[in-house]
Amino acid sequence: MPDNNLIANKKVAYYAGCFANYYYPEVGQAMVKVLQKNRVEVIVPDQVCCALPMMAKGNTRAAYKNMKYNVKILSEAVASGYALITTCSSCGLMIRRDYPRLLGSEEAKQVSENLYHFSEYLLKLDEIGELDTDFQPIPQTIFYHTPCHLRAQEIDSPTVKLLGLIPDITIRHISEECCGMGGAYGYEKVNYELSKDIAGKLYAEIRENPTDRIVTDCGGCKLQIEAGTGTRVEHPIILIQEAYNL
Amino acid sequence: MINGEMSKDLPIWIMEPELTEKQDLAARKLLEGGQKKAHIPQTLSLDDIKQQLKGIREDAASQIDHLTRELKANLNRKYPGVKVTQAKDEAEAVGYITRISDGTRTISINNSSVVSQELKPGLLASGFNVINSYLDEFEVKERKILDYWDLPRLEDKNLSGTFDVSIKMAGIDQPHPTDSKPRKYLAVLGANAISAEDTTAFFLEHFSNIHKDLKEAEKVVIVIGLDKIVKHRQDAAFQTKCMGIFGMESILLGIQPEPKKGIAIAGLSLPPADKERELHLVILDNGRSKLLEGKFRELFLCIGCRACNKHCPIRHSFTNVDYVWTPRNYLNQFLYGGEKSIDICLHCEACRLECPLQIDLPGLMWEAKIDYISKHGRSFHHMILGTPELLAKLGTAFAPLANRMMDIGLVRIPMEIITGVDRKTRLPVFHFNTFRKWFKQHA
Repeated sequence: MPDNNLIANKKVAYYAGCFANYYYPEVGQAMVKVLQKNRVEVIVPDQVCCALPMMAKGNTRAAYKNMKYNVKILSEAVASGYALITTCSSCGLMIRRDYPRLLGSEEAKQVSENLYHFSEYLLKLDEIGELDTDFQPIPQTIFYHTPCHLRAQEIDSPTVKLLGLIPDITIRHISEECCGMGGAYGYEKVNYELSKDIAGKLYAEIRENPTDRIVTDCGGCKLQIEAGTGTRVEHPIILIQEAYNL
Repeated sequence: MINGEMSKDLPIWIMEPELTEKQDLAARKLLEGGQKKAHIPQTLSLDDIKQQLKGIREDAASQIDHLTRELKANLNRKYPGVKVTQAKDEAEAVGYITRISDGTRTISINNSSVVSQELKPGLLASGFNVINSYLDEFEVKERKILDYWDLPRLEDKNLSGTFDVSIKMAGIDQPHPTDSKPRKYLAVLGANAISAEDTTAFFLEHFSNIHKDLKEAEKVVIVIGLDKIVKHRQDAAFQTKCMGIFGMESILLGIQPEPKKGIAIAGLSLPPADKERELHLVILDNGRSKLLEGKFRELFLCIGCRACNKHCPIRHSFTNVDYVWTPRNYLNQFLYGGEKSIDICLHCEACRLECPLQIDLPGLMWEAKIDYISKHGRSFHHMILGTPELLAKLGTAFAPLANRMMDIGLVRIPMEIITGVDRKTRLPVFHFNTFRKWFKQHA
């Protein structure tokens, strides 16, 4: 069972993952600033790739090594009273669902149960009256793309709910079409055409529902949508940062 | 049609989409109007149905040997006219069908995977003309369903009333002299469930192809996969109903993009049957009992409803394979050597979410991949792409240069050859100052 005291503790160990660390550091920076704005103590423990892309390409030996490494570090953080959060829906799914299944250890289970998607965590803070909801209005329309790996976590739609707290924002369209990227899947020459074909339905939805901004929680989805539409795609934490005027 | 309770021959019950829902609506209207209280069937929630189905499947999986013995014993005792055989694999089943075919070369099959995926290739290789009338009937627009959107969908509330037993047969005797006459062909029909206790065999039918074959084929072979045997008749009925409830949308979606126009058995000029009609029942293992012993056990629980296909992003790309493409059937094909790779799965996990039994197909795909790699190793491209963090660290260390290089076509061509990354892809931009560096400086 998740330890609800970890939410009340207002201490967070942030698992940034590869995308926020190497390719989109603004996301990690925004996450830290938002947490600090809410007087949450944040640490970024040592971490390695969550191992999802390694498993996908059959590098199982290294994948298990990474999983065990992360579980060791993250379970220590939980034991020290930190809730775990991530801004990446794929890392989140891997840690939450696959770590305990593949490793079968008590530590992996503990890590899994105390990991939250960032928006889920912020909403939990809101539930106990600890989220600063003094947001600046963002009078914009949003096309929100739900990443498959967030949908697969079966945690409802925390990001949509969180963005809904921002005054004047309008979530005009919520898409659940797969973007076809699947990590490195869509990069591979053998899958390239299929990947673009899958994304076609999502691109059509975007064309049919023009909005001021496109938002998604997944780095891979972001890249695929940007490549197909030529429009910049934001991570939702960037909008929360804007709403705080940070 | 006769009541199966009093059957003198093997009870065969056909379940079809029903109008119960519309009747329920009418009943509610009556109630709202203050008229005589109408009967409204108890509605089951989606979770209730899933839980009940899981119980039935787990129960069957835990005693399949016993159930198989019980089924065979009951068939032999109660219906000696039915020729029962047990086949360990598809080759044995095809061999049996060939032996009993008595020179008949035309075989009609239904859309069930056990025949359309497992037996069809062997039957074709044995020189049979194999016809699946299902898709043709979809075009014809049959009596009960004028438009496929008329069919009930999962969002509707009264799920338990969406399919009902509409035809009860006793063996394959013609119930009425005005019905069409038997013709000289074989029907090989995969059943959806059978009760070991009372031997009632269940079929789910969207149109009328199964019923027609049961009435018209000179010889009928009902194929029972081991995973279709359950204890009680009500469990078999429920399992069949679930196939309808959960599979409806995906089956329709599967044939929507490019329905294959087939030849219907009705359109063939076949001579009339000149021998007494025969009913055969083949209990087929074909790897199923082996599933129960290992890490793919969950696949035994599958009822074959094809719900896993509903949101599978790659399903449209596989309309031309010889079998009904679903993530589950794809994995099956791979496990039995019919597919060379298991890499086509995007791992989006939509199949797991849709499965009424929550079968972890993405996890099983990984298991299959791990097994494959342990025997055959990895491709060079996957060796490189399987080290994403190393690539990211290298790119980050030489960030400005690496980013510029990625935009040069002459670099992307050899890169494509070495890494398998398509030269047309737009790659993410590396940042020299990573987030964690920033955090160390600012925290």
